[in-house]
Amino acid sequence: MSKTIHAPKQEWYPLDLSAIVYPTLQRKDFSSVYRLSVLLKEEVQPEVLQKAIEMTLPRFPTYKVAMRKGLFWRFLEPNYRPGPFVQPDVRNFCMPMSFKTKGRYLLRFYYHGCRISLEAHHSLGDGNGGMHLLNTLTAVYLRLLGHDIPNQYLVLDINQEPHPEELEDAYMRYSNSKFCPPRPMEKTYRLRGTKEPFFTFQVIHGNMATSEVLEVAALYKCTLTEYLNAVLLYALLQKQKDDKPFRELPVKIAMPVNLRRFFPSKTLRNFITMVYPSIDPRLGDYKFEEIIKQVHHYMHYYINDKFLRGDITTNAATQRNPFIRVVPLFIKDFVVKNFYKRVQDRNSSAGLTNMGVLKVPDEMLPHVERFDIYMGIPYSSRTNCAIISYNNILTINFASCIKETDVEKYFFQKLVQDGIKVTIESNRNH
Amino acid sequence: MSYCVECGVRLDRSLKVCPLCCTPVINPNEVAENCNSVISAPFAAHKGEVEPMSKRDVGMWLSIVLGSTALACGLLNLFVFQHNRWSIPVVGACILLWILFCPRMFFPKIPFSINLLGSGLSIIFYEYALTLLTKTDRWFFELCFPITLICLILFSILGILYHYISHSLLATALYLFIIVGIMCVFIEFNIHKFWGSPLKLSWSAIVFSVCAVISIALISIMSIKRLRIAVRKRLHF
Repeated sequence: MSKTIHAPKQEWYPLDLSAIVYPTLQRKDFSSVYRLSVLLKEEVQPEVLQKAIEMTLPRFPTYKVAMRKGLFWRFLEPNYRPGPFVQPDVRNFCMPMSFKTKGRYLLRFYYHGCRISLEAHHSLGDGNGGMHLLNTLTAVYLRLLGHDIPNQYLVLDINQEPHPEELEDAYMRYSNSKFCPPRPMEKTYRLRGTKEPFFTFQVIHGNMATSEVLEVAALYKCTLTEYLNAVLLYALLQKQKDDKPFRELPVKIAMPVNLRRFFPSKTLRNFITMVYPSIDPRLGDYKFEEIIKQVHHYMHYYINDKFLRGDITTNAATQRNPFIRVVPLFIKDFVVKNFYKRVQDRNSSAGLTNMGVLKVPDEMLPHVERFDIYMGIPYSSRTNCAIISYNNILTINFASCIKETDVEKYFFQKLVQDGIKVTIESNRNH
Repeated sequence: MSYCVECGVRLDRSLKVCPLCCTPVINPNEVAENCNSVISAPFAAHKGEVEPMSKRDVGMWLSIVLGSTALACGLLNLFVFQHNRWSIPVVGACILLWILFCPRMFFPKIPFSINLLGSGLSIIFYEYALTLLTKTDRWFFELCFPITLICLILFSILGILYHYISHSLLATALYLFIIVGIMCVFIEFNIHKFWGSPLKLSWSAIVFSVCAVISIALISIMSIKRLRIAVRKRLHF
């Protein structure tokens, strides 16, 4: 007889290693909120959606929480207040999320037409965890409408207790490297633009056939991720050339890597680390093929279990240090915020996240058009790019808070030049 | 569905302009369709509001801490250590800190001008309270008060310019250089007047000249749009 493992009822959860940073960076015009959306083939019924949320959320205890402040660390506490409640969608999504209002929830649910959207604070979990929640919610919603959806792929069984691995801080389990590799930090090219009025969130959304992109990537002898990284680097280099600066700076992309591919874990919390593929135009003019080669070799060099283990050990060492543990929270906040602002944020020119290919149970396929993912408002004036593929539809979303769209223009023009048919949607009002 | 002639991308039917290059969308075939059908936009139209964050709890905690400090020092001075009025600066500092930080925590929508006026007046009253510890108050009326008043006026003007005219980096730098130049001249002028020495500018004239040159350079950069954009791009800010 198989033994079902249940996670013990916890009164509180410490923030995982990544999550520690996000509440510290909170400002009135910046919040580490990301959005995941599913576009169905029928209009959304808000009452049914609300019921689905109430049935689904208890299965995700690390999402049904409130943020609390301790003397040395922040932590998450189970939240029994009513909510979160479904709301009609807004134009300026990924708004800052206060920890003390709206029932203290760090989640928002929206509906608009056929779209269901989930916004989550990054301290709860990464895109992988959020996508589990969204898929399970969508499955429960469809079941309430009378469709039979099995628990497969990212759809979890809401009648089952959460597995202990789903709640763990996986960073601590795998941060056991004997050596921490050095992290070169350097000033990179930073995109500048005219800031939109507060709070405006501009999105440009491109749809294309995944098969077309894969064909083009195969021609360049690289993977889809490497190809899209190279296109974004190419767009940023073009933009810097147009600016005609006195001296050019390296162009770097901050790309989160899902560590679950290398270190098995069922965790629904954060389990990512950042890599920074880059091109230095001071070394010369790079052709597109050279950019792809550079990115390809960078990925092979850095994205492996040994290097990534060393990287997360470096981060974990800070948290384990006994002297740092006893520093009061307000001092930690001050140091982390300044480090991020002066070092980390300047270490990349733009962000790119690729959620990869999303699979759903076959019974869900006829009801779902596509999925979208949006990285939240960037900390500084720049643009962020998020990519997801579902059922041969690749969607690329650019999110920014500046008026200019040069990077997006060069990006999509390059895709069109390579023979990819792109359809654009946007919430920009020109 | 229309295509952008500049970028080559297909555009969603709800778009009137290409979001990448701002080329207008003119598709005669779609004009007739649009008259008859309502195009549903992929994104919502209305804007959400960010919930205001309340710092009331922090304000109350600060009020209790400052209030109890002032009370404790006042009582100690009154009943225990009575040799001089040493608690005046401490009590005054507590009141000053409360006025500087707490009103915005209890009333977040308080206008900036009122906040600045309150802060300025509280600084002036604190300086006046310090005259109770000195033999004469001449230093307050002839030196401290005029300098504080001019600082208050100049910073109010800075605030108004920042909020209503421009808050770009170049503009803020311009306001600050002008203010620093004027303040230095005024400070030296007041110092000479207080000491009864001839009203002759020396170090402040140098500071004023430097600030004036920098301000003229900034004004010329800001007044030419192409130059302004070029400076921002080339200096990576």
